[in-house]
Amino acid sequence: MKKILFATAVVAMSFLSACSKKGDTVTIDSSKPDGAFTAAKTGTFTAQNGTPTAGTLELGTDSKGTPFLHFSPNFTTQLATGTVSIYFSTSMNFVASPGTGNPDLKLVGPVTKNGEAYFKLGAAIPANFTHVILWCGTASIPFGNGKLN
Amino acid sequence: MFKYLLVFVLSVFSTALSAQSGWTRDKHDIFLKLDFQTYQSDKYHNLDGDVVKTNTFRQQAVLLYGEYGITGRFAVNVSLPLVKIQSFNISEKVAGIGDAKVEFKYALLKGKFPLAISITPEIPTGPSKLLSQNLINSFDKINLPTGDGEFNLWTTLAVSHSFYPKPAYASAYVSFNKRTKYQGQAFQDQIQAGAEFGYKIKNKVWVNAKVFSLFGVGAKPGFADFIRANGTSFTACSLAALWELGKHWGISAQYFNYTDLFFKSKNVYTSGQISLGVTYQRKR
Repeated sequence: MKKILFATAVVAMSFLSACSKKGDTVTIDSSKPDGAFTAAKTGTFTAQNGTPTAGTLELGTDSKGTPFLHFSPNFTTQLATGTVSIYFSTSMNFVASPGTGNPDLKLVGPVTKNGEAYFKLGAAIPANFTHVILWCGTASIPFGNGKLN
Repeated sequence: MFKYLLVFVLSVFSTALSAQSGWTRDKHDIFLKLDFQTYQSDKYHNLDGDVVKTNTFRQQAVLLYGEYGITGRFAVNVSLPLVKIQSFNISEKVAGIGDAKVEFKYALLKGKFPLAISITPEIPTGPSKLLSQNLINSFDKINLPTGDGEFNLWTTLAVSHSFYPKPAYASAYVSFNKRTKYQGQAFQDQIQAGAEFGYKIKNKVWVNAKVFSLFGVGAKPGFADFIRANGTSFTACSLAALWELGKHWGISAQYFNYTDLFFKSKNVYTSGQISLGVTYQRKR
């Protein structure tokens, strides 16, 4: 009886092990580039309103042509006071015009941490959007901006 | 008698502006004040002192202040914001208790120029994180805590003078605030200094004018956080009045505003502030 139980256990473990190797779940972070990221434009953040904003930014595509915004590993801003949102802007100034659909702004999303980050963009960014603005929406003040060259 | 009135008046005027005097409350005497304050501002002075127009920040607060004379020279004063309600005009209101101050005050000198020293621990009793939800963008929140999350210690030296028999007095003080850290982030220490002058009109209403400055000392902070007043500096002026309603009760009103008289305003929202208070005192 003991031999039967032992053999059953060995078979079961082998089966589970095989299943695990075959069925390993691979989680793809959709915000990361697929393959190499190639920068088309670069810039450096300038701090505003006493925040510790610093670092470089890049706009480019991955190997499949998907556009991404990339913040460098030395990117910092002020996150302790609340949500900081990333916008593409046609100038260094945040010009909101909700009545006309905010033609000078494109929202990317919130930045949640300092350090390197990639932000997947839904579509290519038109060339007239020359700046990235870090924006504290509730207070309505900029924390920093960077011009893309 | 005039001295008692002065102590009463100075107490009434003291809570909102953290004013100080050289007098201490007599043994077993009690003073209480309940104060309502309100202000709003869209004029933010950043760490460089530049004015930035922002969305409107709003704050209302109810403060309880009490004094108790333990001996003729030693008194304990407690200040506790019972509730602070804060928001921007496009965010939800958040509310919480504030940080408690417990002042241990000792009269070094009495007489014509009473001199007092005090040590005041400020205890982080208020929540250091209160997220206010943006009403327009669902992903957007801002932290508007009602406590600064750090323990700090005020040390104050204050001197006063009565112009008796004229119903007038003057006081001056200087304070040093030793601040510590919040989540590893060190705060600038602070110095506050001020002066005030009070006069009783027609033996009915005390009026008071006051000016004081607050500024940071040490390295400039690495980040601006106006709620925690790190790197904050300003000069403020106020006018206040007190009506005594009999032996125990009184009501007070005060108007307070900022100026760049001695120091450029930095890391602070400036505007006029109004406070209304009810007072009670009992003498042994």
